Amino acid sequence: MEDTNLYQFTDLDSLDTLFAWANEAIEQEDNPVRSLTFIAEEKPKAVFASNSPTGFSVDIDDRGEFLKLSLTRRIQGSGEDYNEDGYKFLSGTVYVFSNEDTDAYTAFAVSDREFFNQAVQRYIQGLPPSVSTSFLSTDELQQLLNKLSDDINGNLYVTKGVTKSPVGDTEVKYFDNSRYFELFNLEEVSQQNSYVDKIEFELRQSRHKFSGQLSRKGASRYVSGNQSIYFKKILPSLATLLSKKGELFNDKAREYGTREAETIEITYDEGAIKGREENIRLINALEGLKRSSITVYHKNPYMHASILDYEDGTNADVFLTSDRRVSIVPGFNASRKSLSRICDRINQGFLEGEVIEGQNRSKDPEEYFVKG
Amino acid sequence: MTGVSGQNQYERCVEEAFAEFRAYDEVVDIVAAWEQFLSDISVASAFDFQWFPDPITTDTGAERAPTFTASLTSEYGIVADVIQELDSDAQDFRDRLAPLTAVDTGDVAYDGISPETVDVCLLIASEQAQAARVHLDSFEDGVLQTPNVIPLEFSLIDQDTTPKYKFERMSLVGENFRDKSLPTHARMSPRVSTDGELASIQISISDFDRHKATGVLCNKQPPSLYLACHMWDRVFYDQLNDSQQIEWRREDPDQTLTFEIEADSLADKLNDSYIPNGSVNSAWVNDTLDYLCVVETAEKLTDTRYRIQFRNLSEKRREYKDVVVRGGEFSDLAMLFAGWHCENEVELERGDLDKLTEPTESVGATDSEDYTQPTIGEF
Repeated sequence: MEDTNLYQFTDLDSLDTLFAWANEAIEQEDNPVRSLTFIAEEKPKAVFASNSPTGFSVDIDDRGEFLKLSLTRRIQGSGEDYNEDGYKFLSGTVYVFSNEDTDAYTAFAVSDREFFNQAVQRYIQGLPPSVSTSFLSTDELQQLLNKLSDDINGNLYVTKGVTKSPVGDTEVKYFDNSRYFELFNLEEVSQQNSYVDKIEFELRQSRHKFSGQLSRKGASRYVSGNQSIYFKKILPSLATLLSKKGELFNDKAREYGTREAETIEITYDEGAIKGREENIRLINALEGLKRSSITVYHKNPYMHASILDYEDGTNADVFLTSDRRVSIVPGFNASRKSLSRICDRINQGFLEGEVIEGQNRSKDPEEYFVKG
Repeated sequence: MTGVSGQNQYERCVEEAFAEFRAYDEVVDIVAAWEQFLSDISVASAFDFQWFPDPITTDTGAERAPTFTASLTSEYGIVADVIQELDSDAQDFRDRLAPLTAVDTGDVAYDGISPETVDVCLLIASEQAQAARVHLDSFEDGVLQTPNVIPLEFSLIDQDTTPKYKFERMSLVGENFRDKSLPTHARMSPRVSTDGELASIQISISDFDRHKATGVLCNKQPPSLYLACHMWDRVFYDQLNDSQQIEWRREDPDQTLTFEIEADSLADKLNDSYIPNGSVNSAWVNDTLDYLCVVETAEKLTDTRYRIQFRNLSEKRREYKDVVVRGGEFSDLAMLFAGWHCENEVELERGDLDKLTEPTESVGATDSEDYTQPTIGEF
């Protein structure tokens, strides 16, 4: 990408100049800002410098308030895009900055979809477990937009929405003149038969312009309009929500030699999980987790399975014990990245619920005794 | 041996494997459930719960390891045994109970203090309860009074909403807990009595899921399939050395990585790290590793040393792919192990099957050995 706009590359020495440059870049190029907000347990620079996922090369330029990465991915294949050795190269510049008061970072590029999806996202996902992506539930996506709507002048309108059902049906919906919350009020979404995967929205009836997109996986786009809305409102909110969600999965690994264990729970409305066939549905959802295997200890009337994530050796026990709760007991060495992956899979492939810290199991003695 | 007869044998083999697997898992459930229940009614400072109590021995040398024991107060403890299958002969049943009724208060000592009162609690599967009652009633010499034996029948109820184990007294009079040393609000005896309208004890799965996940095994040898799944899921990844783990993460996770392990040392690791205060003995581990040899994911090097071939297993059933077992709704690790194990059990000649569990005494290099020598092309 050429730095042809007013802010030359050498001028970029602060976040404010970087954001202003991005604003000009998207006006001059056909591409939007595409970003992925992720969580890192240590400064990402050290992780980038000491780990190189297979097929990637990266040069790091530390600019103080942000990192500038020259990222290249080599992909093997065939066809006209590939050279005579059977490779093609995706190269571009990626900017990484820290979101204040969170352990979330945002990596962005002004690029086409292929570089962002195949190079930027795959690179972040290929890093060790100390770097992880997270996800937002439908409710959390709506919360983010509610807050944005409250914070800015004007009204947010949805222009396009992507919803998915647990069995993998994807629907793309287009809107002309609908406020953002109408996507969330769709019957299949409010009845929890589908979850919101992406929302494309724009600001109207305002002195500012803005158009962008958000996804449940923490990816977002800044297509046009006011840069502060994107960099100072949307991304900080996204970072806060993802970071808060990521905290739930942090330090949950059991210690060897003790039976102390913390749990993570996904809770639902009472009666939301109906019938024993739901056990099989949950097993099937867990079987859909890539690079993992499951062992089913109990399938009926309750469900207990153990999962082994082959990506980093994380193990966890998953229980479906009532009509309103799935609980996850992390094993030894359980990583935040993997626990997030498992929870995300349950939310996507089984049913979206609220992810919370496990509750204390102790009860009053009275509650164990039932007359008759 | 292919064809219908082979298919039938295969199907029966898999069904038997899962019947044992389920039965064992049910006992683990019950121990975990009582651990949570008793911890909530006990005096915290005196509470102790043993998943792996030592066997109790009679004067004549008969012995039986209870399923679990618990200290509830400094004066009161429980010895419990889960009964899923019943001896058809009353005398056999009596002989089985004899070591339990020979319990000494010292068997439930906690912190060096023996309680004054110990009750023996028999937790009997509801389908066996009636026959067990007949047997128990046939014992005429007061064996159930000294010490106090409390038979409770159990079943799994509320299967569509909040599944829970229900434990009910099996008589209207006598056979009750002697739990006067518990605080009034926590006593079981008044509630399960006729005055308490014969309340049952009900323990939801969600009360004890954490205890089950961390308790893992109960106080008897697990089916090899059960322990194999546990070790594969929770233990083997840790046995890879650092460079293997890095290689695993960075490269193709479908590759096979091998490591060698001694059964004794693996049993020690299980008891120290994975099932703290566990009582896994090396014979259980040996049997399980032999099982994995038949599954062909391990190789027996010596009588006690094995080479594990750890990889992301996936379905590749060969002979009986059309046989529907276990409902056919999913194919998990347990199904893969059981399927491959039974396939070899059914298909291989006895001599070939035995060879799988005979030591090869191989001295070949393994991935976990010498990393100092460069491989071809590596400098």
